[in-house]
Amino acid sequence: MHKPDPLDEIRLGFFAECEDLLERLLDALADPCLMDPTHDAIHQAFRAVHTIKGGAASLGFDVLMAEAHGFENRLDQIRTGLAMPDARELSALLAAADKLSAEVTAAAENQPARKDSAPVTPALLTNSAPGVWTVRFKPSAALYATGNEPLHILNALTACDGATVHCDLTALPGLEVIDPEAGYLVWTVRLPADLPEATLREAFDFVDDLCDLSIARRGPGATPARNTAAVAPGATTMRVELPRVDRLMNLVGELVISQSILASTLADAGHDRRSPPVLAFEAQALLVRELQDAVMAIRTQPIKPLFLRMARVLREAAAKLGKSARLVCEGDTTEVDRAIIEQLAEPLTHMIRNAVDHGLEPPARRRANGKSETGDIQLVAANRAGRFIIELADDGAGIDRPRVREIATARGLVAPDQILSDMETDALLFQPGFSTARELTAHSGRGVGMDVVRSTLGRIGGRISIASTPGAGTRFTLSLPLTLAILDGLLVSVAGQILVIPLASALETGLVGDAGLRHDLSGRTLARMQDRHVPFVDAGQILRLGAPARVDRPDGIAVLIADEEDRRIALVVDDILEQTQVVIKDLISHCGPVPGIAAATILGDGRVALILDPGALVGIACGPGRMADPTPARPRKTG
Amino acid sequence: MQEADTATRLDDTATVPNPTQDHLCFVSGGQDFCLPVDCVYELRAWTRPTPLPLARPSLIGVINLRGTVLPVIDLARELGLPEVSTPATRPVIMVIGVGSRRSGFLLDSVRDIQPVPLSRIEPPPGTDPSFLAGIALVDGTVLRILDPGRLMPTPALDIP
Repeated sequence: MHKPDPLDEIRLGFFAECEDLLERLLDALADPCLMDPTHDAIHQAFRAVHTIKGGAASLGFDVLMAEAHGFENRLDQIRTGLAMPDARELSALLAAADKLSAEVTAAAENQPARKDSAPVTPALLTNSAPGVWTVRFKPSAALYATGNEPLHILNALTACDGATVHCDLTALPGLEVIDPEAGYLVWTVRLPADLPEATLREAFDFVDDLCDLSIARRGPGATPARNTAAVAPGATTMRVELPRVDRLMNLVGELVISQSILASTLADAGHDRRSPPVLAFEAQALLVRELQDAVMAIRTQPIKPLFLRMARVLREAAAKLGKSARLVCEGDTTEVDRAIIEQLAEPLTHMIRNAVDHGLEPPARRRANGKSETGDIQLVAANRAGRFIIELADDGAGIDRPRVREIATARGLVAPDQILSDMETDALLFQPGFSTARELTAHSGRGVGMDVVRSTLGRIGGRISIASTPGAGTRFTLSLPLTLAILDGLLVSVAGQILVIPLASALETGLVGDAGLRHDLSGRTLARMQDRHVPFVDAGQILRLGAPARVDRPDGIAVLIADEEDRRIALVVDDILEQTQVVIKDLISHCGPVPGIAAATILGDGRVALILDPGALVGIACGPGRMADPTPARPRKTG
Repeated sequence: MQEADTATRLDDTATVPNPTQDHLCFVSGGQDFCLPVDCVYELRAWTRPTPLPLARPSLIGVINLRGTVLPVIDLARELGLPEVSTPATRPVIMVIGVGSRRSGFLLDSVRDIQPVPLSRIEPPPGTDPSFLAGIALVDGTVLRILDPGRLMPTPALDIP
């Protein structure tokens, strides 16, 4: 037996803390006020790196400590106003942060540090300056009123080499209360210390009395006043192991199940809806619902850490491919089940790589097309209609449809003479076999098949669609459930078995007898539901749950379901039992993929019921559509 | 089942210099087999599983094992044994686990637990891959020891 090392637990704690600290570091580096030592951002970054250094030193991770030490020095120079920060410095800092996080991973995996990347430390020493002038310039309203232009003053100041300007917008009020004639802005200009003070004063000759002005030189060794008492963000949070939260979630799931048992017991006992037991039960049901929401809230997290990771993936991909790209994030405070975030990391990583690789044109071509050399990749998160939506858009060349067509024809996915619309052509990217890369791993390189991304998303109930405009870019839209834990479902009975239809995909229900059935040329039964003709499919037959029943039995009930392409079928079931919340239980990891089934749940009486996968059912009934189902319905191997 | 592992038996194994491993002996498709007890998690009375659509014939369905959805496999069919004319009157579901995975197996009945000296276990005859981990000659009868790892369903292989 391996004897556990008492330090193991401390190490685990340290690495868990590192994750938080790295996140905080990236957060600070993304702050537009980073380069201003009077702001907290740079101090926050410094504190994060400093804490990592301290932990690494005490646990003997020398390489990590050295890395953090170099980084810390670099940040310290900005913090104390010694370094002259510019855009190049910022990207160097981001690179240093990436390197640091790689070192943390390496230390956590107990591996020697990667040798392929250059150490950060040497570069930062070249950046040290003998000292800088810091000019703080706050024009008053009178300055603007007398027709002076701060821009001219700033231009005059920054004409000399090595000057940087930072504008502080924090005093700027919202549009609804802004006084357009007041002076809200504060500029901080930093200049090399070898300039004579008189040169600086000269620029302000005419506005001396119309502004707040301070000019100070900081030499080496001079420490600016800073707010050391700043409370570290996150002081009100507590670290909890994930299994504990999962256990809480499972218990709430069991509670929901026992609630439904109680409900049916009360109904069987013949209690009136207004009787005290039923009223008490309903009050309790409300509490359970609230408890469930509260536990779900623990599981939900903002998507921001994932987006920060994606920014890193983008930088790496851009550097590797010699392209210039920028990630623009929106809605990164959107919250979603942690399990979903975990499942999203890999598909998104590959999509970002693909966007940089295939989406963005090389810089020269972008310039020739009148675009900025730096490509924009936009990542937007939002909650829409009970689903979690992520959009990934690039401003690249758009999908090269003739080329897609060529590849698809060469791979035998479409006949050479087949006529495809633009949308259908774009959707070929999702076809299995379009890309030769099959594996979705953290280390796979370029051109991972979108079909793999699609099936990875499909496994957690996600969908993906694509829209592309030639010359303007491509946009992928991902739609995911908000949680992997609980689902609103319609309980139906089919051939003596209870099945769950996800409520979100059930559009309408009706009696088969009312549907006005007719038959098409191939003998399929069709009916008109919601102004469209849809095929009628017997649920028991399609899932082979029993002897095939006649689809056109008038007492059957048709449930209209749709897949992500809005292809619809009417699923004929024996009866609709109730609409309820069910706890989603994993089926695939024990039994492998089951055709037409997404997951399982446990009913009030303890029996297992299967949750249908509407997209897969439509696929089985209508054959693979242009966006083929992620897990194709194929008979399992026979034992 | 655990009660069957009596104290006397434990004492026996302690005094015997030749190390033994306890095996659970059971009947499937009218034939005798056994498995190392340490991979057997529990024995359950028969409950009707929820059938899975389009599943292979030996996968009878899934049951609720204290909140976990557990696949149940007809062992006789899985092993490819011929059908017996008289079905078992009181079938049993044996839950076995390998690593973090659990699976239930439908058996005709359970016999007992037998200590098998490790030195008596021989590799299975033949070179074909089979469900057998080995055979052992104990008290004049041949015990067929199944390989729990091979019995577990392998979802990964089913994914195209």
